[in-house]
Amino acid sequence: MVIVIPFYDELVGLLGISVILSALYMLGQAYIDPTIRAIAIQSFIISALLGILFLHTQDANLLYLAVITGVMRGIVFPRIMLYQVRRFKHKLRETGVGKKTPMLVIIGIIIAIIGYALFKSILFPFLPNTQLSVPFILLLLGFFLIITRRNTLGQMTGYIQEENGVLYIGALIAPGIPLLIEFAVLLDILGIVLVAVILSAQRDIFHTLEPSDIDQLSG
Amino acid sequence: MEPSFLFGILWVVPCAGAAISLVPRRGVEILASLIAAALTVAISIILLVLPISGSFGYFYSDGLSRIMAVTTSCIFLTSVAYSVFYIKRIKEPSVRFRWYYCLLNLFAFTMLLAITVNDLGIIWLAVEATTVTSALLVGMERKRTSIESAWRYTLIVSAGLAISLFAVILVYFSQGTLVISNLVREPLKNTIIMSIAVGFALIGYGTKAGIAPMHAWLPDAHSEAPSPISAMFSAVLLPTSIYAFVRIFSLLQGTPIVFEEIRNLVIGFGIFTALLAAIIIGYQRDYKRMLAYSSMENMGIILVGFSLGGIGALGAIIQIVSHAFAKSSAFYGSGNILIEYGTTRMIDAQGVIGRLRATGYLSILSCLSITGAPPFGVFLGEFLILSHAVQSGNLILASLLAFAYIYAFIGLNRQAIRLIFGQSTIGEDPIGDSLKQPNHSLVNADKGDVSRSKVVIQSRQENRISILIPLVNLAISLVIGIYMFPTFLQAATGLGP
Amino acid sequence: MNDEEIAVQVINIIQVGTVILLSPLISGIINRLKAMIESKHGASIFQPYYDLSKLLKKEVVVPERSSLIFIVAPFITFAAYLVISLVIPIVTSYPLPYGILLDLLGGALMFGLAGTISIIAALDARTNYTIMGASRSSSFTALAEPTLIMIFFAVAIISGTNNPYIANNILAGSASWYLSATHVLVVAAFFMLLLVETGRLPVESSGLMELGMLDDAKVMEYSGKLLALSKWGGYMKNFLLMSVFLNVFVIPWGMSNHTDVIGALYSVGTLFVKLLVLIVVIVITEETFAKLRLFKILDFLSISFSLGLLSIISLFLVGRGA
Repeated sequence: MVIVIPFYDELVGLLGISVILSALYMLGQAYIDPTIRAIAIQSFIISALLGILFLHTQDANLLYLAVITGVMRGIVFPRIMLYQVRRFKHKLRETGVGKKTPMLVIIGIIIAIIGYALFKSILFPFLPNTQLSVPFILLLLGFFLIITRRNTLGQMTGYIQEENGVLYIGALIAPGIPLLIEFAVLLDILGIVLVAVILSAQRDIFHTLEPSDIDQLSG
Repeated sequence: MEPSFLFGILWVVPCAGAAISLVPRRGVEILASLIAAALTVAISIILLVLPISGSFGYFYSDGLSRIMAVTTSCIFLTSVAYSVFYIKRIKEPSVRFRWYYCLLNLFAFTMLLAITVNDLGIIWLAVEATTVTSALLVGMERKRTSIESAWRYTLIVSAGLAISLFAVILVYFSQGTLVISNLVREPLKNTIIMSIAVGFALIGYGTKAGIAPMHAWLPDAHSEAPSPISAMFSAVLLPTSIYAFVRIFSLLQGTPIVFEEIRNLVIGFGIFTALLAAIIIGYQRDYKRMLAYSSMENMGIILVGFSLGGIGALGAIIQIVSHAFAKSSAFYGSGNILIEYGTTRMIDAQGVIGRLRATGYLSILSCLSITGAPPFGVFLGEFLILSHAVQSGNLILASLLAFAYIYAFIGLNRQAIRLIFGQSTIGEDPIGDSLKQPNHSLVNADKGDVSRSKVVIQSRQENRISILIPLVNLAISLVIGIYMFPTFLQAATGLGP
Repeated sequence: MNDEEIAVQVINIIQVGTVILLSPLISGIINRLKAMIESKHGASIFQPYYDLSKLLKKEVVVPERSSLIFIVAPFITFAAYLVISLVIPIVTSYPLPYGILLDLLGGALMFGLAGTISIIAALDARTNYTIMGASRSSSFTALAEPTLIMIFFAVAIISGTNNPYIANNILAGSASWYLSATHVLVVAAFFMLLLVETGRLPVESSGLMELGMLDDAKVMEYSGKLLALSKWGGYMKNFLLMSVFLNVFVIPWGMSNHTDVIGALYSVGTLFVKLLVLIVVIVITEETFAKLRLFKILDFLSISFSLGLLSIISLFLVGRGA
């Protein structure tokens, strides 16, 4: 049974753009709470994209991947991270970004452009799939997100974003990798373990680096 | 005994050791780990001498795999033994000792898995798993800097490994399989994609191996981790990542043109790493960081060796093995120094020879060996790589290599001599001493220095272990240097262009 | 003149008449709807008409130090808006005879003319509130310019020209363009721009709170007929912006294709319905958000600029490609 999806190209395009939008939104966020919710939404969108790919290509691996991504990265992971935020109350609420957020968004867009140019010149002749530019840019934006954050959970969201990108690339070009699902699961487990454990250790010892609260009052 | 059965045991034993370590009885974890480590050493040596090659189902073993397996298990054994001595003296451990040994076993297991498995994807999984198991080991002490460096290590390495996941996916896309035994048989279907994959793998696995400019986590992690863990890192973990890279890199061999460019890229990264590390060594003020940068330099040299191929690859293998033993010996010695002095700053710990005579001599010998003094094995490895570079006419590379060797040799040993034989800055003031280092509870190894009151807790037996282990490793490094040719030539013929 | 040409001229008059006559009604509906949501009774939807007719009967008082510009400015802005109403698709989906005067860029410049003249007049009045209004208005409009340019680029990408009618036809006809990321993002960017230009929350609070005023402060010194013209011009500006938004981008259907008067009247009706939909959305937006602090309007504008930029980039990322 082949399901024909109306407006397949446009739908994939719109979802791809909303993924990038969520990445840029996270760049522009100074608080950790909306960042975590945004990564949850982004994971859901990726899982929806994987689901649409599954309907389009009838490859069962994609369905498993879609479900795993949606559940683990959309629900479980952000729940755990939000729980950590609650535990620490004020310590993890802000990332070390301050008032520079609009500039970061613009830099993010520039990175997106450069990434697209890179993708087009290097990879495109050999991977003839225009949809690949989106996860590639997502990967680059994930790096940028990690670099701009000084807060553990913020960096974790950057890492999840990278993994989303790589996973999506994998799903697009090589869905038959027998281990892709295991990769996905392992990455999530890795993250969960480390977040929970290292944060507990950090909690007992010191404040994570963050700007002083005075910054928020001015301007 | 069938080889795959042996390999299976090789995997199962450390896992069993990890599981048993969790039994809540005193001393069980130490015993279990020691037995597990000893068993792995035995099995890997058996596997080494068996005249087998190629793949056996899940396992892939050519000479490189087996040699690295032997190395890994030996360092595992000595690290466990040294941990018995060292861990008790950590001031504020962040995990209980049972968990430490359990994670140590799992750490060893993941590295053995990465080295011997037959599937590029599982290699990636195993390398990723080493991050999980070792992160807590790095952050063993409840200090702000330890936890922070553990997190940085985790983050940077995981971010890098995501890139190498992309590389693995590209390999699958090009070749249609990730099984190594199939990959080496089939010709390349798409050389451009494969070369892109190698490029990404270089960045990804290079992050984990300490290749510049992705090495930012390395000095912090090494200096903050407890010494046996630092030893495992330098000796085994970094070469394991290089192994993972080499598996992908060696797939590209048949294609002359593209291979040349990629090879030059890899050589470039390698020599850049070596030079950068060699230069930075001279500026270090902290001896564990200095040793970490020395590891980085050696990894760069190993990378160059592998990419040159032929005799260079042989030199790289020798380098891996002898560097493993020599560096672990150096780190164990540094562990002794750290316990005695309470600080890793070289200025504060000068004059080691006065207080810890045996450790002092051991340390200077191991520093000499890791920088490539003959007749230790590291010299042989470096020499072989250099000679291959000269023979293949790449004189720029050869001169850069020579510069790196010499500069690192001078830099490291100058600092080491000052550290070990230098004028002690602590002096003969008992009250001042006890005020400065209130945490001392050990007796020092030998006669001399009667001006301090000592609290004797443990007898000399502990000290013998703390000296015996580095001595053993150092001796092995020496033995490798002297008796290298027959065994290694035979075992290493399975690899390389 | 044959029948067709007469019909077209009549349609022209209908278009301009719609703009003139219907714009106060739109403002009245917005205010009434806001009041209803706030659980108040609110003024009648025809209140703006009553206000305008009241103002037209009152005498004009000008500040002592103002000059001729102050008096002439409302006429110029009114005239500018009249010109614009000739060139925008309001009741027809084909260009009317005077439609060749201006394309989209020209229309934006005309808006700019009207804005500039009113700013100069406000400066000319030399009172505190008007000068404050002038400075705020000019700075925020200037900062909104990049978004406007992005929107032009997006229109150019979609239609290959700067002509709103062609863009309208393409968007009405082709579902793939309508659903493309370029279009969706440019709608979002234009919506945010609309909020800025028409002075809606969360950018500006309509009403008499001077500290929140961006544009309204400019007209504080006017009285009598001049005030009537200024207000009317303001209503017309809002109407025109909303019509462009709706007719070109969001709901490009429902406009008459033929050159008959009945069709034109019919499309006035559909325009009214579309405007009602937009009014509901705007009012919900206004009632949901609090007013942004002035410096945060910069963030608002930068987000709308980013959306506009992304809409162009997305042409390459996910769309037809280069």
